[in-house]
Amino acid sequence: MVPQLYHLIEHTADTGFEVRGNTREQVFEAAALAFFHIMWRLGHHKESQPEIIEVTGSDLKELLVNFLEEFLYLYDAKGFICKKLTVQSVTETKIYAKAWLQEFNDDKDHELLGVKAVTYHQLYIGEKDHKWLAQVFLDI
Amino acid sequence: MNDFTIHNLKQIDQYRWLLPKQGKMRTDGLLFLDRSLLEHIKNDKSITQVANVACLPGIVGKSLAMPDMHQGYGFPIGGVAAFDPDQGIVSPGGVGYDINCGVRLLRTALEKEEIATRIDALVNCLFTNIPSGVGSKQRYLKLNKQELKKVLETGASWAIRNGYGSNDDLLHIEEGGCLGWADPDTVSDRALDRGQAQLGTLGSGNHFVEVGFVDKIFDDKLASGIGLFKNQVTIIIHTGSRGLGHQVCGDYIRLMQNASRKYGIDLPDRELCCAPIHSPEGEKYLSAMAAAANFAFANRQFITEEVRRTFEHVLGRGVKKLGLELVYDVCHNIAKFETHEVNGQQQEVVVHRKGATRAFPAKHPKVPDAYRETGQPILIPGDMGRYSYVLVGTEKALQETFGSTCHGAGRLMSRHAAKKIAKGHNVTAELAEMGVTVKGAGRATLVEEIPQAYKDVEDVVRVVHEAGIANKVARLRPLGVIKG
Repeated sequence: MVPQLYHLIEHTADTGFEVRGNTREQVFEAAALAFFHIMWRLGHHKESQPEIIEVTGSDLKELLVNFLEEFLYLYDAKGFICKKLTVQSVTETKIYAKAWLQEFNDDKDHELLGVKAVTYHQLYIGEKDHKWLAQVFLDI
Repeated sequence: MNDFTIHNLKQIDQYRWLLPKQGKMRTDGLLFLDRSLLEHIKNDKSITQVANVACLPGIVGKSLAMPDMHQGYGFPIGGVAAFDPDQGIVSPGGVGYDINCGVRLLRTALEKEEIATRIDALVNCLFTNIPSGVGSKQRYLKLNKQELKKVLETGASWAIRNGYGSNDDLLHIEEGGCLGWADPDTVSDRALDRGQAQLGTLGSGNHFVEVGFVDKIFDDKLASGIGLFKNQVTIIIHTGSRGLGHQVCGDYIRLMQNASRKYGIDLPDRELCCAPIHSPEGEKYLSAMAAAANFAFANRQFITEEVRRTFEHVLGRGVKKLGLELVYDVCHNIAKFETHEVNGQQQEVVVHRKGATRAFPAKHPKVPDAYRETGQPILIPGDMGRYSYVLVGTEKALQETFGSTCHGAGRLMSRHAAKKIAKGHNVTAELAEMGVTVKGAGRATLVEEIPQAYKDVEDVVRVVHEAGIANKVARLRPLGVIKG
């Protein structure tokens, strides 16, 4: 079970969040779910067919930024939101995930925050005492 | 590098603070602040960020910060830095994610009494005609990629060729509304995908269109020189390059992470990733950034025309009769090739302005003929309840800050804190009591953008005026605002 809680970090002009997980996969999944929770409040959608999301990066930090940016792109360019997500594997440079995407529906879905980008500002991802921790700041 | 604090600063005069070169810094930092504004930044990392910028290769002159400075990503917001084209670097973090975010000001021949009963209709109609809010898109205007590339190549003039404005508008836009070195082929498909349906949309956050009036004139000669008079109805448009620009920045931050390693550039902060200006990566970024900047110019031009059509429709008078003319359009997130005096010699440099506005003086060759005698108009928006300022550039700005000045008020409160304060308040009703009709796409944005969440822009403007890096011309008060 992925811990779905996240901690919102806010400074004057910054918005970020911190997530934890028992494994690398869990912390990526938790980061994506936190990201979705900050951006949208979604209504009920019928379950769709999952799509494979495959993202690469030169290290874990870049991988995390690219992974979240993938969903930002899907939303901003294609109008897709993500209702459900499972991260299947994460290596140092590649992530595979299954995402249940839906088209954003003006009648039941709400946008909460306009995210411009996922940044490297104070970005952190790492393992400590067998727990994974990640911190991400967003450009609003 | 260690964190720098206000204790590292040496006061030069009432409005100037020196951050002396130390450690890996290649030059001094210079901050334009008064004591009260200094209080606002003492708990953030913006002074360290000024020092970090001073560490970058090829920096020319000082690492500068304007009085609205606060912590940004990589560069501080309010940061200005110039780099030598041969020795220096270009950094996407020195421009920001919203490439060519900027402000334009329109004037009218109307006095505020003439629209007093029509302001609600104007605001409602603007809100209908200009898509705004998070993820705002054009319903009927989706450009194909070929056409979009033309926008990226030609900027505001694309809009004009397609019936959105007149050639006269181009004379009143920084760089004529087009950065000539743009290359659309350096813009990724993903960025194009994001921009296809976003031309002429406002976006969210602090972006807005505001109908207001001139409530105070500080200098009669300058005001009449730029066509402003007391009680005159004005319109401000604040937006940028939307998702297209955000994606360009993100794409090139990714590319520059590797480029910084490749060129052996020691980075104090990953968001400062950069490449030599004339490296393939540097040139590619500058071409893509210019393309995104051109999209932003076209975007503001497009919205300008929607404003004109809305005024015509609501007030039943033609644009000519309404006198709806563009005063000026300035960029506040940009990197540009400009010629400046460095050590007594004219030199080409790449000036990064991140949350800072160009402020060229009277008679500067880049200032359009209309403002040869006054200096370039500068627009400094405040929060949605208070006021905005019109300034002009000065010789001193040219000498001290590569012709740059502040760009806005800057946040005082986090979004969460703003929400907490606004709890139980009807923001729209309270603003209405203050004489401002507001229409926002989402309550969330309205609440996060309450006036109390921002510094008083007057405090920022006072510093640039007193320090001589801009001159106050007029103050504008809002009557109606549409927020993203």
